[in-house]
Amino acid sequence: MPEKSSSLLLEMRGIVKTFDGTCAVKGVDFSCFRGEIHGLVGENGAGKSTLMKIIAGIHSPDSGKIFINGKECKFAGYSQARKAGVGVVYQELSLLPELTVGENIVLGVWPRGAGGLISWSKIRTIMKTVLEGIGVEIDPDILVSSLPVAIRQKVEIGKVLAQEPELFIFDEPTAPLSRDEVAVLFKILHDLKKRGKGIIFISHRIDEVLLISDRITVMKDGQVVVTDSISEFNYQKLISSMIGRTMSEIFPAKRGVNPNVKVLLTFDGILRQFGKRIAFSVREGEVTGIGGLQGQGQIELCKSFFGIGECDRLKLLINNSPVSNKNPIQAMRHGIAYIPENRNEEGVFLILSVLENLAANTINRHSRMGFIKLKEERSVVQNMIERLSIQISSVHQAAQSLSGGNMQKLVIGKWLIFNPRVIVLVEPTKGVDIATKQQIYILIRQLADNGVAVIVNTSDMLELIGMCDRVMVMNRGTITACLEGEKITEGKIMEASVSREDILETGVVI
Amino acid sequence: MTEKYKNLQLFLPVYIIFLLIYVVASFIEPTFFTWNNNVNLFTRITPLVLIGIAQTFVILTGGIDLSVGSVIGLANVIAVSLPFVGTPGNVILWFLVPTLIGLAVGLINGFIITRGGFPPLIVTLAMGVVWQGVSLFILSEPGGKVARGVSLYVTGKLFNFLPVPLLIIILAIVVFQLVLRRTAFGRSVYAIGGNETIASESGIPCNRTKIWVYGLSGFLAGLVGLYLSAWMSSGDPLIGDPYVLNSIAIAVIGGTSLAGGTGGVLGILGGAYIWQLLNNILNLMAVSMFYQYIAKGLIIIIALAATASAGGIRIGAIFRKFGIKGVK
Repeated sequence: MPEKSSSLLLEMRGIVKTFDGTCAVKGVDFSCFRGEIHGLVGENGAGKSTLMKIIAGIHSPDSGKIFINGKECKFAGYSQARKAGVGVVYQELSLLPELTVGENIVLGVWPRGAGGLISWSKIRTIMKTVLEGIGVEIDPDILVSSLPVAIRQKVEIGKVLAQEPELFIFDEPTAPLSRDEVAVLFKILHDLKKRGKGIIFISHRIDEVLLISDRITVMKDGQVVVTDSISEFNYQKLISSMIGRTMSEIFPAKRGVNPNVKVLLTFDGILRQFGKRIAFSVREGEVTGIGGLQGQGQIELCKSFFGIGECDRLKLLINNSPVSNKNPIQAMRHGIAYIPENRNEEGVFLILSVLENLAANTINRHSRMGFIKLKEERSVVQNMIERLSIQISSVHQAAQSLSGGNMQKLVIGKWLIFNPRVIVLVEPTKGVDIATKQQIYILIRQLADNGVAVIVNTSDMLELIGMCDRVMVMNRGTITACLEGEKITEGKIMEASVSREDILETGVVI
Repeated sequence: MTEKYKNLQLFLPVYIIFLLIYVVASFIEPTFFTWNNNVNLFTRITPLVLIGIAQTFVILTGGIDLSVGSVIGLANVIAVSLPFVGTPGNVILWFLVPTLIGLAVGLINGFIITRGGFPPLIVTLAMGVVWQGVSLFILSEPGGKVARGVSLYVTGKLFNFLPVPLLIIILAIVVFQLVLRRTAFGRSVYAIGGNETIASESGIPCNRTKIWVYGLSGFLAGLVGLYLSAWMSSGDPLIGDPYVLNSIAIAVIGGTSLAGGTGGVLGILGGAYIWQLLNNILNLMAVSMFYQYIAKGLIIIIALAATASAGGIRIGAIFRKFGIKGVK
């Protein structure tokens, strides 16, 4: 709870922001006191990040007012917001990897010495106080690229601390951190709070928000659903106000795990980065979720199915016969599909047409003697466009002109045309709206019902709980839990995410 | 313009500019519009079209082939140095040896680029120097001869009417347009230029396709070397030098983006014509060689500015690129 004596640090009134006709933030009131940690939660696309970017001066609001220390502010960029005392710790680290820790920390605030030259002695004093303040001992001359992610996070915080802001915005700071590292971060947050700073804490992890916040604001579809002090919230209330409906309205009915169904796929290998064995099997028609904290080897594991992950001594069995999957072409020959996370960089050919995108991995299937059977290809593509209700004006339209949801459908659509036996999806609903999300959930369930083995890696806790028949939790490159049925709960998943015990050969049938 | 006519949008401006230059030239120089002069033009632009197509394929994959000039020179000196050049009976060998050597040289380029993971710019530049050396070793100064009669392949007319070069041009553009748009190979070329990572994760054989693209480039360069030997009736190891710049200029003027993935061969004829006519006009106006180089370089920069924004040539884009506003 904010102290009675604490003064209002930030106040926003009636903020509206529209992008290309879509309203991202619709008349939001928001405030933050000195000495307060204010949790901000909401689904992807709820408008949290836009609101924070408005505070940071990256976006200017269409209407509405911002007051800092009671003074109205209009920022024309981050540098102005920074001068007014706003500091942002970004979710995607904004460090320059090829500069040293020290250079990163003082980036943009270069302290000057004699003759306007940069004073390295001043820089060293600043760095010393900053790094001591957050309790880290890092050699300031070390390159950022050589540091592990958790340490980089601290350097990022140090970089913001060096600017001595009054108001801190932490945008999903715990995403790459383990539980111990989260505890250290929380200690830093409490220190800042004691020193009378205002802190806005954005996170997807419900339990963390409940643990650290003094007040919580829930956003949904660009509006504030509720702002209240922590004592008014519990886990269930927070979830239901976030998604605005119950789970069963979003996710199609699960099929559950049936031990009598044939095992389609068995994976056994060692992720090179972690050096630990992973072994598990997936049955036909089962949706298997892969969860855990970020960066625990999930993506490497998913890539390994497709021959592009770093995995040693990989033994992959499909229908009990070993298959070789050293590259995507071989993996595809065995009916394996892989849908990567990053649509723009790994999923969609932005400059190619909708047709070329949807037909990309079935070119050979629709051609004879090297010549493409255009009519056949066209009708297959057209069917898929109708099945997924992809919104386009023409099949010759360039993919880059589509919305995020439609791009994601292009990626999924091309693999549906491929007709896989095993499909591996990484973050299939990242950055798409709720309606498209629901469509994707239904598609995934349909695939499973048709006997496909579906493996989904997602950082969205609700998806793991609502969509998956089985959830495997990964931690430090191996599986620490394999949950089925009623056992799939946030508590159990989080527990396994930070557990130090490994379980080997979970559910393996060899 | 609707998406359906995207190709038209991409290539139409090239032909409008070509027609403009053509009409203006016809008014200035009355003999320009005669059939004889046009046949002469066909003969001159055929090698430009062929080498433009070669470079277009490579650029579509996101690469570049700087060795085309040297390969043209190599094929050219081989065509005039073969021991049997004097005998008309060996026309097939005369045709096959230089073009197959061109193909082999191109495949080697592709192999080094894909296996080594090296940038095409450096590999083809370096290999170009290698083949330049080989050409000079075979024939250190202009000379040699071709079999009597083979020059008919360049100057002759089919059925006493259709000039052979025109036939080559039409065939080349039709065939390679089909290859690009209707074959799995062509689709793969666009996919690789669009995004090689996604292409490889879509099961497209990227390395194999790229090796064959450089092979095709070498093959067409070999064909150009052969054509030049028949046209000139002699060989010159340095004859290919201008074709490096020519091929890139024609591909870019023809509407292909240097970033890869967009463009095609339909604009090549217009590109080759514009390039050749500009050369002719500069010559007719008796512009000094030095100024011609300056002009050509600037024309490529302007063409780049016009094609750099995806979706075809836009004149307004040139002005916008250089910060001049208000031109559509």
